[in-house]
Amino acid sequence: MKKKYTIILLIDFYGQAGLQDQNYLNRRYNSLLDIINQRKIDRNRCHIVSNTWELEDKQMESIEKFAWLEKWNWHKIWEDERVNNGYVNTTIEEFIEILKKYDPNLEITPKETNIIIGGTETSGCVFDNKNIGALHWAKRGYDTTIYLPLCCDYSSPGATWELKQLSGISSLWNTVGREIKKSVQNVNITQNLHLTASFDQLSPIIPWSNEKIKPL
Amino acid sequence: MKNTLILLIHFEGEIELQDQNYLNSRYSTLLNILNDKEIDKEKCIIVFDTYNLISNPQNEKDEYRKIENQQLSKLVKYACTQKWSVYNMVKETDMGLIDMDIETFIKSMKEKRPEFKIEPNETNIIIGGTETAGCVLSNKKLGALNWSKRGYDTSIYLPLCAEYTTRGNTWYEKQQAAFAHFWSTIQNHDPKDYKLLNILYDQMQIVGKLPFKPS
Repeated sequence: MKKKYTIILLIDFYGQAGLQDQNYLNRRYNSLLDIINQRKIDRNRCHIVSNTWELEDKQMESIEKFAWLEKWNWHKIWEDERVNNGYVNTTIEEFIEILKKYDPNLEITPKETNIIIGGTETSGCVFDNKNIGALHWAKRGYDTTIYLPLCCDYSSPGATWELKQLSGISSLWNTVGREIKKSVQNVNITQNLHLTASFDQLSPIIPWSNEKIKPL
Repeated sequence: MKNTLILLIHFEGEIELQDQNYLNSRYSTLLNILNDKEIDKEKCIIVFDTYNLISNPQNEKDEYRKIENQQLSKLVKYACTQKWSVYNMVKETDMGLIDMDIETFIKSMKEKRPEFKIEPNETNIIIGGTETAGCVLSNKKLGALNWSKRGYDTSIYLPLCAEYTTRGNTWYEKQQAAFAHFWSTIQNHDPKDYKLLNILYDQMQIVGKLPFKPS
């Protein structure tokens, strides 16, 4: 069976870093690093895309450099005027068009591509506030996964990070409920949409290769 | 106005395995509901599926004295002083060992409180307890998904819930894993099964699910 492409889409990944619990921020970066560290992931079929970039984010800069050494394709679509570092609410169609500029061979169709999403905030931009949020991919029939260790919620109400996470979850479910009630056409969003909390759960949707890459 | 059943499934859980701050927070959340004097107590009842009993409960007359956990005992005592009707299914579930179904539950409640109607058009269900993605959702036949499947407006109220057996090195990670687990359970069901399932976080959100006295 032909392996599907996988796009690891980082939506507003940095977010408002100053507002985040720094331990959880580090954990998100580590979770990304744990994916990048896997040398048996097929680099031709698994691409990383960020819609934003912060120059002051030195940690991310190091991760990106490490990813380059590990031969990852990391597409800097934030430079495109249709993204403008996340200030433009890019649609999925525009996103695909932009990505094709970086790699014309990349096939982005529901049949050919899995989408993995992380960033800030789980129940906001990552889920539906941005047009490239998980819900919108799922609605278009893409197998879409929100990888929770890459996400966080800081503007959700809550006196602790655990409570913020709970309110984020509640808000996400409310949106799902509204979508289900809105249209019978959307009944499959929960089938196309996955939420995972560990790399083990993520593993089956990643395109693995039999051979390890040799880093630069 | 609909009446409301606040159903607490394994509310205590394995106390020692839980973060004590969150355990306290769950108790405080319940206390916040009990403290609301505007709730119509004729139309809102609290039912525990089980709790741990002291060694010789038959010697005690008052229900709250039979409860082993002092904090929960005090909570139930307080509820009674505030004129709440609190019921338990300790005997019927053999301290939680019997997986009671909704029909048996309704039948038992009819015996305990005949005038309290439990019907989809008449009753909102609010559920809390341990663990969110386990017994509270669907592992128990009294779990939220089973009520929602039967056409009840059902709400899991997250501040009343906790996870401790879910994998994770911190309580934050356990929560994440629990939600991933919740989602995978939901995926195995038809959307009409969970159409009436709400996940609520804030007390303001449960206001709409509670019966209030006419002003």
